[in-house]
Amino acid sequence: MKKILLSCAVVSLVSINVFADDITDLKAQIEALNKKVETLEKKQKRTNKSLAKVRAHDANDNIKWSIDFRTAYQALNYKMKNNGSVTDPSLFTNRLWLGMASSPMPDLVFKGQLAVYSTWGGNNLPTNDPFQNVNWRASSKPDDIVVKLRQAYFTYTFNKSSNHSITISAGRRAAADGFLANHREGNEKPGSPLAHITNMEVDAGMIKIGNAFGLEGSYVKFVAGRSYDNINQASFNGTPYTTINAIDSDVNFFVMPMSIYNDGQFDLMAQYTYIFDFMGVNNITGIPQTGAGDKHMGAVSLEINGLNEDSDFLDDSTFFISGAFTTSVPKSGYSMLGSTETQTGYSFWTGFIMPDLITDDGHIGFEYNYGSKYWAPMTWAEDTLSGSKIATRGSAYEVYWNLPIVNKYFSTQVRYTYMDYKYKSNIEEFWAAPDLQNGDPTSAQDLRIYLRYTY
Amino acid sequence: MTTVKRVAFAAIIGLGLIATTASADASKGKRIYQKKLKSVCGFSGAVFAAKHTQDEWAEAKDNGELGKVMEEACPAGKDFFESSKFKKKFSSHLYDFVHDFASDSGNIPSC
Repeated sequence: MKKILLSCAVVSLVSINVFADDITDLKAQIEALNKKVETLEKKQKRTNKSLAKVRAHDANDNIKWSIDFRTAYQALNYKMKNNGSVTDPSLFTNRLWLGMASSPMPDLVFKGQLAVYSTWGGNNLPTNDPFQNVNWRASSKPDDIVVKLRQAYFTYTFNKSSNHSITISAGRRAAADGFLANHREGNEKPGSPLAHITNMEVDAGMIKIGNAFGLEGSYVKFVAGRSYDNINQASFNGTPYTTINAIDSDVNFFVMPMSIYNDGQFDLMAQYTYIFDFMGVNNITGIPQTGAGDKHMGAVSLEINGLNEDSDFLDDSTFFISGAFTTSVPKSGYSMLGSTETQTGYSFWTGFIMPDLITDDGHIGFEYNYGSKYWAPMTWAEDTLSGSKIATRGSAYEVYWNLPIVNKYFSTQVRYTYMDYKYKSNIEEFWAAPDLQNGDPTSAQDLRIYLRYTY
Repeated sequence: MTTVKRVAFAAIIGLGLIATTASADASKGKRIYQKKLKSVCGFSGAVFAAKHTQDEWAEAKDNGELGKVMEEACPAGKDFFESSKFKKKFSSHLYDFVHDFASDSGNIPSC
């Protein structure tokens, strides 16, 4: 019995020693943890204070900004009918786009864009020259350093998660650099309309229906807007913004752009446009004015992204082809494009963009355009200083090299465009007869080299 | 030779000397998703990219588990994510796309 008691006493003593060691360790660990918790609590307090400051600072800061800044060198050369040639060997420009985006909830989005497109230094461009200053291309042609509104619109989407979502939108959009023109502008993504017949800054309302044809990537948009508002000087009579004895009419348009099929490789798009009370010439007075007739336009464009998966070169190449028409229908007593009868013009546009085989990400593009005598698309905001190459009546040839320098954030482009006019270039007097007159350009060359920062 | 042609020639030679940085392409990644995965996964590329935050996508890439994480987001795409083409050709572009449109990217899609 004594032995047993002695054994128990020994075991108890050993255990007490062991537990005492454990307790000491535990105490040390608890103290260390307490210190860590104290440190973390201090950090948490500091973080909360900082977060409160950030929240207070950003409380009404609901716009997300983006920058697209481009500085460019351009050289222009025109050959004139029976009148030699005209050249500008060096024209430098800056173009700044400040992008705005705001979205309080996923279904409701505001997008905007402020733009400055200016020549280096002052210039002697007339302040009222419509080539720079009309509403539909005001921020698409270089002029002064005034900030202009290029885009401001909202979109609201119903049933966003369903296959047949419906989006409504209204405001001002740059319907420019659209489908297929994005390559020649060095843009990753195309704008909304088909660039073959539309390249304008427009004010309009829109309804978009998703999965419109039951085909992959399909949608259709119904767009209605106004390109010219007939507000004369009636404010002198005390009735501002009204029309009194004006010879012009409002010009409205209806556009239906649609994606027929888009699986990421094959992208088939189409567009129909109707313009009401378009520009023409009064046959009695000889004065150009709106309300002279109506206009129809249509285009079908196909782009193939990646021609063959088994070849890196072909997989990284893009081919596109597009056909389009424009029809002018003058009213009685008026002429459009120099004719009192309905006239239709046609155009064909194709391009091939391939890896440059010199750099990792550079691409070289080749494009060809053809336009017939009465071809007259609405492409006046196209970023070609010598005038829209897509609107060429005759043939236009173009080659460009798009080269990223630092990823997608800093890039450069060299682009050369040659336009061979068989008929009058569709730049300014878009109501005039297409036949070439003495002093009209018979060809134009446009070289552009830019450096561009995008973030 | 006209001024236009002379300047164009000089610019092409000059730009050829610029060393470019190799980069993946988010828009190409979007096209790859549209072409290879959209119908398989049954949802849009925006929904797929928003399955994770930018940090989560970056961590998956750094750990060499991008295919695995993408497969968890779209189990029906298993064959694609486990293919050699995904690893060699598509993963960098797809990563750029999902990173650009991750749930916390702040990117606001256009209509």
